[in-house]
Amino acid sequence: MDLELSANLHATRDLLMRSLVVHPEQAPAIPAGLASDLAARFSPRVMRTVVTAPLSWPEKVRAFLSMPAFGAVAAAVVVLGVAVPMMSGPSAETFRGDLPVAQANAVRIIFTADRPEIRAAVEASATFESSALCSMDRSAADTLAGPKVIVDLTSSTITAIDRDGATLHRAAAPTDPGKVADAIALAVSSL
Amino acid sequence: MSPEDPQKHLEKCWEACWHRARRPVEGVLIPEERAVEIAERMMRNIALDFDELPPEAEFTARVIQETSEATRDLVAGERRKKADPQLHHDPEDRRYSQNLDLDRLQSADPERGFQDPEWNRLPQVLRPLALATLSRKGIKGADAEDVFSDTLVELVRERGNSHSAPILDPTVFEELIPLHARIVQFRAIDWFRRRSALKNQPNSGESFDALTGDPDRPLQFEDGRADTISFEKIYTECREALSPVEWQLVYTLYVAQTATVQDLIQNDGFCAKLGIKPGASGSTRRRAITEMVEEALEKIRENLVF
Repeated sequence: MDLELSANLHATRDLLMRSLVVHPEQAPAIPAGLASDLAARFSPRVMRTVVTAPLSWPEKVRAFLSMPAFGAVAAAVVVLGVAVPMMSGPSAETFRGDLPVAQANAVRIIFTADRPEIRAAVEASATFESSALCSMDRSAADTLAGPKVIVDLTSSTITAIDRDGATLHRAAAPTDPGKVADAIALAVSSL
Repeated sequence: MSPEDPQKHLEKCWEACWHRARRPVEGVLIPEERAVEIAERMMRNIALDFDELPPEAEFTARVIQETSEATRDLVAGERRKKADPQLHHDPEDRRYSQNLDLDRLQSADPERGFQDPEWNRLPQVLRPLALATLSRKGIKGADAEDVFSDTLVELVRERGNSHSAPILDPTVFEELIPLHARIVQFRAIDWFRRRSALKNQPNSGESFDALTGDPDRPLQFEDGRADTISFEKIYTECREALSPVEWQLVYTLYVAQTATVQDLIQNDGFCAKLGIKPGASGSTRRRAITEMVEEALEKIRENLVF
């Protein structure tokens, strides 16, 4: 059923109806290659949503670790970790000059009597760096520069002395070797 | 066709494109296989200009316009190369006996103008057509000869707006026939106006008003054959007047004729594009579509220069 248009529009409508194909000849079908190419060119781009089952957290971690991006980031971190110290490595002064400030400020823990079981207990506590521990006689310990804690097992005292030689802490050494490390830590904390 | 069916849209566009390649202008006929090659190349080329399928009316208008232009250029080039003005002329075109050499007609001497001897043959081609047209309008005998002479002069007269003579417009000789026919139409109108102004007496023949009927629309005054206007011309002249939705509506219903009104009424997606509410009844949809079609046709009627 056609629209009931105003009479004055019939001529315009008829003009449009004759405007596209002006000859009755039958056109050949659109070439298959052209049709497919144009259809492919103008086909709407469909966004496909992939539905996946929810993953447990170990699977998520595994998936995360297996991501290429993770590998790339990890490689970058390794490269930076190696390259940055190389590029900004320690200056020559580190080897030729004074000790680094942090090392100069390190507290030395000095044992002044031959009580290997005490030192072994302190080392076993893993409270201190082993390099911070040393043994020497008392006079040598007194003349050693820098902050220090002297564990005098002869007098059974633990003394904390700062870099200026001032005694900041003094306490009796525990008789129990297992508690000596804690007493030393208390002395170190006063420096 | 559903307005959202791109495959059918492309098929309809192909059909129109092939027809333009086969007959870029009345009187020119290209072999079928050659027309296929031209049409395919044109559609591929124009498709490259778009990232997504453009509106049907716009795409089709551009495809057939550029196909027509390219085919006319191709015909003109081959005729020039082989020195054969009759090449690719439709053997069924009986309006006149033979094409003339358009290049010679268009060659102008800087001082003497269009003086090529080919012009001596042109009246033999155009006179029968012009006199037949003028006779149908009531202009006969010496008056018709005078009008015809005026039309020949007008062919070579430089126009004020473009600074070029109408004879320079055609690409192939066949285009000269409708061009001259339009000049004859306008000169006939002028003849009637002059006659009405000069003679304060009843017209001896048909009056100008009787011929035109609607003075704003000289369409009735033209030949019946002349009231066929190609879609690309309609689209070019009215493109700005109609909205994209209006173009799609008139293109689907009347130009491509790929859907009926009932198809559109039942197409929820298309009705939504027209601003019709989803739950609207069929009669409501029909009324809304009718109003929009009438508005679109009215705009074309007002903007189209017949």
